[in-house]
Amino acid sequence: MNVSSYIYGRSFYHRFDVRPKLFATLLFSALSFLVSSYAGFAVVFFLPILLMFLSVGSKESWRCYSRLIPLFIIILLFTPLQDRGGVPLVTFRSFTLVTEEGLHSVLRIISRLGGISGALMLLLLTERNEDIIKGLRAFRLPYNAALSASMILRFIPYLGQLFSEIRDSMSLRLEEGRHGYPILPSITALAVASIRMIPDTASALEERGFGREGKIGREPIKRPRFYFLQWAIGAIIPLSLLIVG
Amino acid sequence: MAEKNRTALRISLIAIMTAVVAVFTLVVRIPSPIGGYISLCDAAVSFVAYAFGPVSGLIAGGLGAAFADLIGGYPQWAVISFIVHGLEAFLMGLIVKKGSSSIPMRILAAFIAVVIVSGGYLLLTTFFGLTVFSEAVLEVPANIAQSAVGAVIGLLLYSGVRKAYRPLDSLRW
Amino acid sequence: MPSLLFQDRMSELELSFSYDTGEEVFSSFSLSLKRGEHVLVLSPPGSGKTTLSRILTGSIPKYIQGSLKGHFSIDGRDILREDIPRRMDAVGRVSQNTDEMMLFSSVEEEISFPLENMGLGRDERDRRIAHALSLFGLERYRDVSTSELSGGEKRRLLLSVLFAIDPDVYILDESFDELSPRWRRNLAEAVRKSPRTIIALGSHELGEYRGTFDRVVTIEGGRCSDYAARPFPSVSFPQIHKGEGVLRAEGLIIGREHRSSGDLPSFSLSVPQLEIAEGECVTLLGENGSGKSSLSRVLSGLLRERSGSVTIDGRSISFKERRHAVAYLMQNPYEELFLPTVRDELESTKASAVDIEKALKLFSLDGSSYVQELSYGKAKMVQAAVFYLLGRRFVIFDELDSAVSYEDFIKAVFAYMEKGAGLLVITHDTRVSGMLPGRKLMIEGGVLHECE
Repeated sequence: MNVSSYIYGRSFYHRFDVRPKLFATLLFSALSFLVSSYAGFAVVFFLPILLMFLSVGSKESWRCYSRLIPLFIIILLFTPLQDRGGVPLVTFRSFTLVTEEGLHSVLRIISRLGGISGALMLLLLTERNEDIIKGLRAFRLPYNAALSASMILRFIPYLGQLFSEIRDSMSLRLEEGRHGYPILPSITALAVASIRMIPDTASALEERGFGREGKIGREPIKRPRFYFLQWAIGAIIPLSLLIVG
Repeated sequence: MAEKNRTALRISLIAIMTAVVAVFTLVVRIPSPIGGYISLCDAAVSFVAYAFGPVSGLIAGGLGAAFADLIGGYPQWAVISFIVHGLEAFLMGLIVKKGSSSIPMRILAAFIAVVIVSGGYLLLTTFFGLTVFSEAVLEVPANIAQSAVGAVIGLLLYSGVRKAYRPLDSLRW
Repeated sequence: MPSLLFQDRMSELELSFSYDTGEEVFSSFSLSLKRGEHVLVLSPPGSGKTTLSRILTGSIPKYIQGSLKGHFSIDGRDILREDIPRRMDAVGRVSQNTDEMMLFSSVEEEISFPLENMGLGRDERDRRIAHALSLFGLERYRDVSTSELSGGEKRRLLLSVLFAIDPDVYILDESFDELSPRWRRNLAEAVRKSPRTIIALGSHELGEYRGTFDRVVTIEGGRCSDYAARPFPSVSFPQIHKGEGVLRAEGLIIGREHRSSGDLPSFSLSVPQLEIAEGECVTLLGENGSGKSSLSRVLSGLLRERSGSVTIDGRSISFKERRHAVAYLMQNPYEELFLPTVRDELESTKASAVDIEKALKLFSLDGSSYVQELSYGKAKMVQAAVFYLLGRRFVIFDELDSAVSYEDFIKAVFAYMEKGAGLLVITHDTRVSGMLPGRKLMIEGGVLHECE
């Protein structure tokens, strides 16, 4: 199982330092709630698409967004576009199909869902998981939390692999004529194997010096060139949402 | 285990159980009788709550579901999943205290899980404005089925693991 | 480097230990070590080697309960009284089960973490990381994800971590196992050159041990005693009676995809022809990562070949049918065991009570023991017993000989041969392959061929 969505690249957004990138992602997501004009919806929706296209290309962008399309369709189908009492935009005979208010609320939800998803996916596509954790450390994520996060990233693929091994070996032990694998025994085996690892892992952490006093050598990440400019860009782009409203 | 510093044990427990929840959510899929697949997310979450109590449940259950969203390509749901499944595990862990878990208590815990998961997603997705109410209502039956099945499988899993791995209960915080 | 002043200082070890389950492992175990001495502890699985390594580094009794008495003094400092992280500069180990001590998703983080905790600055860390990786040929693996490493590669990574930390006393728990001959020689060389005190733990003699250690001891009845070299068991295997059935593979191409780091070659194996008859024993040798396990997975129906055919008795068999015809004893035994007790495991095969009793005796097992509490070597014997009872026509032993005693290994080979199964034995041990009857196969340069 692949836990990393990271795609190697040297684009402008790849070179952006992880700290301003995290800040920009969060600010953009937060400000997308304040937007209420059609121009604003368009920026919220299309800006991440544009950046994603520039940094990882059309194929990967499509792969990410194609997962969202069913959601968009469902929202379109289930939203009362014909909001009663609104200003009619499209009418068919005497039925009002689309009203101003209805359209507005649909576009608001779709742009927000698309924009926030896009911004987050963009972050995961252009930064290695390890670097995101290092970046979060700069925002005062406690050391132990960052350590846990790094370990989670090791155990997810490991346990995923272990599960397929367990499933395989269960299937080797089946009687003639039976196929598949027994689910409850398999997940029990996975849970037991995982839990067995807890004391071993705790000991491994300590044997590697976790908990020693006087830690040094945990220097912050080096600052790249144009670091402050990156922060400025990271702030200005999301803040522009306020201007378009 | 010695009275000494247990931080390393806590970190390992959280990291590994979070990974278990994420793997159950992402990898283990059971074909559902009404079509589609049931993910075992809730089974893992309730297992963590039964085995390790409310606090570990809150963190590992919530984080595991959130990591599964982040890795599975739906990062926009991560925060909501964290809240819903964290709360689910926390309340289940509170209700089913170690040793004193009678059958009515287990049923109550399963009921709470169903209410939290189906209600939680309904309220939070619409609250955050990431979908519309009528669409969110549609998801409710699937969530009810998944969390109810999950609570039962979680319990079976807990008793199975306890039989095979005797030191289980010594690992609680 | 040890200073001359301390040259003759010794480490003293005195231990008594029993697990909370009641099992007594050590009673007045005592061992004294000269500084810089290299000692090999050779004793059968289940005699307490891993327990010893865990006691020295502190994992026992902090994380696995038991009652421990005694001391381990290095330069007058009693290590057993110190909390685990403080012992780091005095003693460190490589665990037998490599997954037990792997903490991070990247090779670099894995080595860097302990060095950070030691308070080393970035330059010193980089120097040590580069040196440790080069010792075990992992220079190009720095950014590789640990989940993509093979068993032998993981072992080399853990060795790199220990050599980077460089404590006063190194403990190598079955560290030569799972390594191919090349890396075994490499490790033996690193041990010979090391000025540190080294305690290596092993289940059976290996050719590479010769000339590497100053002294060999053993554990008997919970005490440490001198090791009396036993002649390599000479066995007369049952006459090979080639049965009717033949497992045959032709023109197989097996491949494994991607690596997180682009410059490592992706692996591929070609098997022009392979034949195993029922009742026959065939040995397979090859480097770490050469595709021995992948070939086993293809034959047992767990991995799809890219091209080629697999037939039994001349009849082409489907991917799923292979699983019922070919048993595969995987390297890590715990992955194939999932029930509480040994008896539960054996009963799950639906064998008769008589057969189960016979298997318990044959593989020297106790039906009431808990599988998850068994040592690695014992768990391997349970695995062997399970597939023995399932009675598959063809059986693959994936490095079964590592971590079990020669006697147990031979017992298993014997039992399967007498039952008339066709055996494919994967091993790194040239003495084992020399002892086994039957043909020898070898993977070299991505191609499987028959040896002379």
